[in-house]
Amino acid sequence: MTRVFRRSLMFLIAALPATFALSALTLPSLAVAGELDQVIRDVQPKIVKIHGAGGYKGLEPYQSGFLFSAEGHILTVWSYVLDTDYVTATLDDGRRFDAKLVAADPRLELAVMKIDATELPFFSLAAPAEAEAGARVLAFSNLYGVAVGDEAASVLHGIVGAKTKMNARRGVFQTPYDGPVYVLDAMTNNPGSAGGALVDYRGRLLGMIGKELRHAESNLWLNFAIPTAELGPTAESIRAGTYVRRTADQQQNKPERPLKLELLGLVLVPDVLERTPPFVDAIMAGYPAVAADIRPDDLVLFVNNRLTQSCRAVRDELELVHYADPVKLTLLRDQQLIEVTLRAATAPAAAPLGGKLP
Amino acid sequence: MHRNLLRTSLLVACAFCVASSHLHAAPPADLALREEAAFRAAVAEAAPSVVAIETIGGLETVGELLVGTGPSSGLIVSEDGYIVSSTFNFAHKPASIIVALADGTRIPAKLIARDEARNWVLLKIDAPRKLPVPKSAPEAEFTVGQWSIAIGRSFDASQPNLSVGVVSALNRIWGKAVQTDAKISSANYGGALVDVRGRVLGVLVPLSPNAREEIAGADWYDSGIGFAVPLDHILSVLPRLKSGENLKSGLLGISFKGPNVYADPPLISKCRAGSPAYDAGIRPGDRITAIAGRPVEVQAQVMEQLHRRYAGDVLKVTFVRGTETLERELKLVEKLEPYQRPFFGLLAERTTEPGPGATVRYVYPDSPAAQAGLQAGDLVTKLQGIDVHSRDELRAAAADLDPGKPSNWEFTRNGAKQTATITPVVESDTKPTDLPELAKPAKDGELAKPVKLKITEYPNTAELYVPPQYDEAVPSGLAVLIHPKGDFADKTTLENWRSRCRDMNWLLLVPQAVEGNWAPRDVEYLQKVIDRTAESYRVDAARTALIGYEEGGVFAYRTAARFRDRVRCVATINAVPPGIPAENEPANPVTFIIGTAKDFAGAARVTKAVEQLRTLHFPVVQRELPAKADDWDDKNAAELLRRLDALDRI
Repeated sequence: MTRVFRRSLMFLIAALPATFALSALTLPSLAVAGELDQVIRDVQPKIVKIHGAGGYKGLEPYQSGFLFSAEGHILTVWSYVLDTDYVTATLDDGRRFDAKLVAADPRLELAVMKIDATELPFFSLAAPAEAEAGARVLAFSNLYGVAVGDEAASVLHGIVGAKTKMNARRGVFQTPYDGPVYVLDAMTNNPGSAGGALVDYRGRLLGMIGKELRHAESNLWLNFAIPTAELGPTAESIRAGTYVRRTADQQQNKPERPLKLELLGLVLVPDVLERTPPFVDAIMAGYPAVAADIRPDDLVLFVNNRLTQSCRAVRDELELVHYADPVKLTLLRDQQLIEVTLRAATAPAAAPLGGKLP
Repeated sequence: MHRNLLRTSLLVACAFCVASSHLHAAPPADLALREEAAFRAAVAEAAPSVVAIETIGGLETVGELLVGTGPSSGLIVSEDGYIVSSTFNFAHKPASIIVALADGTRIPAKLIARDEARNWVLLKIDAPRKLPVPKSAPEAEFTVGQWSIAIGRSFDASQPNLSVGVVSALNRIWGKAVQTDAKISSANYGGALVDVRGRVLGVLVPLSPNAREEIAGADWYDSGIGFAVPLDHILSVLPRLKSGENLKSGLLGISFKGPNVYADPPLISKCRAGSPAYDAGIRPGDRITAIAGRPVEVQAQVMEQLHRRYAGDVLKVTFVRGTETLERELKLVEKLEPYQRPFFGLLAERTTEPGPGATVRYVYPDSPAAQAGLQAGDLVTKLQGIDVHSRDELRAAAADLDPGKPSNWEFTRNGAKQTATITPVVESDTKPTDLPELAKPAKDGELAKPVKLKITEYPNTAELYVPPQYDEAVPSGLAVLIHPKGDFADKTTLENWRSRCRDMNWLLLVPQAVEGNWAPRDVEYLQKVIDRTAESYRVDAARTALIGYEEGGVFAYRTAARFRDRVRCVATINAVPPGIPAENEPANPVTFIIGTAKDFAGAARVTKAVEQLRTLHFPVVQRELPAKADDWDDKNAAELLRRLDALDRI
């Protein structure tokens, strides 16, 4: 205990000069001009503990959610936990309700649940607050299902580590969502956390804590939340009954007739390794690559500004380009970056059966 | 990992519970927001110097760890384009490296050099303009508990990602790094750890106190423990890396007595021949009292000073020998070469008492000693200025000399003083024909009667055979015959050795395993029974050999590895060495004589071990025996005996 005390003291001592040095800066005025514990007390009643399906093979049968209407609309993540007719929502005061699924959006991986109650405290999704990297935040959730009955959800403190786009690099995180996210400097990536609320130090809702997610390549866990602005319109349209279900079609962006290396006259080195560097092996006479002055031994670094770390990645990126559209290649030649834009001169051969030209 | 997360999270959660229950215990929100503003200002100050690094091509995994190819971070350290990053980001040996500056400009980079002791690398780009160089926080001002913000640029090249924590400790990993509880992972390896004023404390790297690989420590990601190499230090060695020099850990070549590095004094137990410490005259028994003028009392203090430096650095070592305090300057090396034992090519008379010198008994034909004109009967009195009075003193003085370097010998021949310069060669197998005839060929006749030996606390038994012509005045060789699993198939092998040892005038010790199986604890038994023999008979420490058969051979290797000071030769049949000893030692040389039957299943593994032993400059003799052989055949046995008897060669 003394050690903890000493450390806290060190914090304060370390922080003091900074505080004085920055006193000249304009600070945002506090909605709650009091203490942080008041902020927390105001948020807690809006957090819901959700129990449903799971309980085997490491799939915990619980998650978190929060109220966004006085009539008992709950926003949470769409997951296996909700995949049953018997989902319960336990409020901060210990009241337990049967929760009915109103609708779910697979792309945002969100679900709206409804309980029969009125005059509940809630977060408004209108005029959402936003935060920048470095902003101090609080994450409310029932991580590890540790809170039961009328126990309050757990609070983690942290900061917004970065505001970025999910899947800024393709295939890195396995989630259909590819919009903006808050990457959090707080350990929210835990069982039961998903669906919890991320708020700023004034208690304003910033977003919903996302599902447990792992970097497909480095195995690094990602702590993140989806901003309110991304969720609000869908959640509100579900509540209003105007929601039209979309499908999470990962292929939706893929053109029916994509660009191929052959159409550009580009031959890469034989793809023999897991990550064969995409060096140009040869150029085919009479093809656009000749006119663009691409040369053997050039290394293809980017296709349309997306990093291509291997021959396979080059092919995958071209799959997303319609054959008639221009494509920008960034090449490395003698330690110089060279950008070229080229377009296929001919259409790909029609599919043998039932192929239709656009 | 998850358990750690749970623990951390619950702690945080509890802290808040406590806070809520005491109304005024939570920090005022405005202080929190002022701190937040300070974090942002610090990041704004330093972030332009943090760059994103992309790599193209390379390995999938390094060791057992799947390495990400995700973007990583780097820190600009000069206006003209030098950038520091973590070795981790390049462990997969990428084909190409691209740096993205804060404004999105992408520039190809070259890897200039690495600091292999602290796991960071130096990159160079052709700077399109003057690049922003961050301010460095002086290491002397670091305080445990101060804010530390980790800045990377790996999610999005256009903006930094950060994690806030405090400095958890200074001088971690033997003084190499500052420790933080900010979340350090591949999301910010290579990036900067900055103070609340935006000054750079260090460059973020994975480090491990126990492992040295370039990815060591990465399994501690996001766990509340992360490290940064102080920027002050990086800047101090930057010129060396700029010149393309790779920095490596520096070695002294000593080991300490006692297992507790934090409590045991730096008393030297071993000093590798040819190492900087050995060449400076440091020897086992010396105690280090100061390093670079700083007094040291425990081993850890020596290690900390050592790890702060690199191979090529000069270190002043103060040590005590007896009552004398000595001081030497040593140049640390990157690698310790295995000891090469010199071979001059002579045998000396075996005496028990020191005399006026060591008498040459035999000179190997064509050896360096023969070429220098040494003859049997010469009395060697001095080697390299050191007086010698016996074979053992001559052996000890000779063992410290380097092969290939001339040495000065003084000797008396027919009463006249003479000198010779002899350049020894590396000791390796000598030709069987070069070996001398056995010193005292014995006549056929009676064989020795066994004497029973019993060590009180061990259930094993042993028999000792004393040759008939055993002479208390001359030290005798000792052969320890170690049976295979169970016992020898018949009495022939034992009978063979009884007559072999009689012919050599050697003592023969035959220990017995309990129920025929050699157990680990028998290693100590063997040492005790050898010592018991030496208490009762005059055993020549220079000629003690373990003769092992099959499992008994494996046991012989184990015993020799454990008791280097007792065993001078291991001779085995059909036994795969269970490990390879570190290196030969000047005071405790070992010769290996390895026989394998033509049809022995482990022959390939034996040959591989022989290659490894030869790389370490051990003298190794490998002989192939006829198929199904369970003992040395006559021809090879004759050679074996002559080799055993010449174990005290110089």
